[in-house]
Amino acid sequence: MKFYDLHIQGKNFQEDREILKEAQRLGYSGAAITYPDKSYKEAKRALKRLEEEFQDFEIIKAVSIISETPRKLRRKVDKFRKTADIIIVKGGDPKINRAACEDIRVDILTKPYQNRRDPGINHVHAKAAAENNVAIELNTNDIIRSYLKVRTKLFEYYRDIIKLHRKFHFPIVITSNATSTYDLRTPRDIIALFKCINMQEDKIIDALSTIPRSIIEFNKQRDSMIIFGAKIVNKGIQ
Amino acid sequence: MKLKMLPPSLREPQRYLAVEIISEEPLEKNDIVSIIWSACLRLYGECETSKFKPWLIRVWEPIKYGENYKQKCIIRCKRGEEEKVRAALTSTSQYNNRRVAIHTIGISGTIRSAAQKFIKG
Repeated sequence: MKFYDLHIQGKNFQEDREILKEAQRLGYSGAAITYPDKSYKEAKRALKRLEEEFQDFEIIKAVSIISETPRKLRRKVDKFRKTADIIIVKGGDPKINRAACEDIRVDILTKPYQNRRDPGINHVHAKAAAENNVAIELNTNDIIRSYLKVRTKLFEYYRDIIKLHRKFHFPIVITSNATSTYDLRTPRDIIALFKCINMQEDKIIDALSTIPRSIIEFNKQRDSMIIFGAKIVNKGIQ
Repeated sequence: MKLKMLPPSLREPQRYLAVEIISEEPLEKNDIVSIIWSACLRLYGECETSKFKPWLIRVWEPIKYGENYKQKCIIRCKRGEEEKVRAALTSTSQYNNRRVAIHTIGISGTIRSAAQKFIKG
């Protein structure tokens, strides 16, 4: 089975290479290196070099967008949709969470619970996310690095998100959000960790392998898609 | 006086986890024991940890791994609870303000097969 990690934070070529090598050793078949929208332009060269160096390991270019208003978010998504493989939106603000869930061009919404006292997602967001195929991210780095009250709260939010997922069937992805090699864990360890919040094993495997794979495949075909569900099959034939 | 050992039919079945620890500094056996206990107690609490019966069996010498150190060891636990111990070990990130990462390489029924399959092999 192929496992993917769709959110590894990029810094520079040297450190990215180390993290990717470790991910490959731990049993992943692909990973997305994510740069913030401000530094994505400068990071393009490093990403190209990484793609050349890792031949049998899939490297995906991802951009994480931070914005204050939904209008700015839409503008930034327009800007990066053609250059980046995956668009990740950092949530927290309810308006941003909703705008991200309602935008079909967004792939992943990360940390909708940040700086909040609730999971940041309700039935309205869940319905929109399911309609527009926006995946909600569950983050292992937050669990690993926190303890006591903060970790308990995180588990509570994750349980709420999983409860909504059971009803509305929006996609869920599990990522590491790693900043160093110490934040990475093997896929089997992550499965064991998420079992403790009563997530079923097949759902966890889906979140680690099937859904990330489908996001990558969908984005490869996005250019030839006129609208969702209709695409140009052969561009050459008249 | 030491108690007589239980007959095999009354002994509890066990599982052995082959574990790899990556740390900034080489760790002693006592450090690893306290990491295992604090990880289990943090994630599952006292009541649940009492079911695990974790025990550190053997620690191999640390090897230099880039700028860090890599150490392999075997941990014993009760059969049926190995996934929970694995999850607890996964959730560890720090020890004495130094970064630590624990990966479970494999689970086995005997010490010998765990060492042959996952540590020496």
